[in-house]
Amino acid sequence: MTTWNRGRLLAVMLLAGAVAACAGPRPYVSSSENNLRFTTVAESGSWFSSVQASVHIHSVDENCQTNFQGTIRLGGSPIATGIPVGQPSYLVFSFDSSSFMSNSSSSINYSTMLTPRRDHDYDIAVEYVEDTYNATIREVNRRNNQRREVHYTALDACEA
Amino acid sequence: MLPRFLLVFALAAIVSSCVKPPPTAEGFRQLAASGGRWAKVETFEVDRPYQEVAKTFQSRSAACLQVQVVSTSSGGYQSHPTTFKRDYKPTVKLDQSRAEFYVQIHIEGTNLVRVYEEADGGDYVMVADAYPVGPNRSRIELHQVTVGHDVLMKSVRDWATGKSTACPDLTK
Repeated sequence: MTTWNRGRLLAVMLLAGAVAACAGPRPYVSSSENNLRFTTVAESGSWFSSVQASVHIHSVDENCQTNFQGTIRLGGSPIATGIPVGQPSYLVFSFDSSSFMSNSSSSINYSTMLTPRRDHDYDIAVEYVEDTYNATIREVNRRNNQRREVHYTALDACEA
Repeated sequence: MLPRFLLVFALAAIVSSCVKPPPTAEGFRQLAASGGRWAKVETFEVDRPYQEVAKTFQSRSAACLQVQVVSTSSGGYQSHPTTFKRDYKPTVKLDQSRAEFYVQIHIEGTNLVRVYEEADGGDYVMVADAYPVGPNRSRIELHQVTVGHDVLMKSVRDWATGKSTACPDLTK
């Protein structure tokens, strides 16, 4: 390889690295049938600040170790995606606030495990209003449309 | 930002006025009941069975309050950035006649000088006691610090009344 080609290769690698570093968290790509539907309301309550809600999806293996799969930025229209049926996933909802006036930012997380069942969908209402946040998960049976709320499950509840 | 600094000032003021931060939940109840400047008691009743209130305290404290909040301020021109780390520790104890729910905070920070001994697990900022007063009614005694933590107190009231199960944004 000539010096010129090595230089070009190095420049391309540096550029790719810079782009990757600036691209933010890895987006979640589902390899499963859609079974999650997120609807989001995120209101900072002030003209001078904003809140961005996201969900970071992790798989949970048989040793209860989490493996980051990707992030979905929430907001605007409802978003549908899928996670594997019958396997636990760990959903970490993050609410990132930033204030234009004080040039400050903060972030707080809410996390829960979810093991989807076959033939069931999960409506997840994500909300940040008046300095409080929530992620309410409702399971919907596709066959009879019966609904029930899925309660919070800590990662500690995972049994290896 | 503001509540964090107010908390630090409040704790400093407690120390400077020779009121030692209580090392136990019972000590915090007594401080609040004494009608001092830094803690108060708020009593109210809710139309919910005691077991339901207790269950809500248990589930929401686990979901919402086992958090660490890290705040950094840039410090502005020619001043150093400061970082504060707050570890929240909720505890819920239940028996047939009372549900005790308390929250402690352990604070670490840049240039933070502790001039008193912290309680095991952190300083108490809230002790909520729920009592049954009828089959579908409960009494809540909310012992709380008077400075900061408004968002936390609002959520605890909402959990007690059943108005909302949302978590407080403890960065506020």
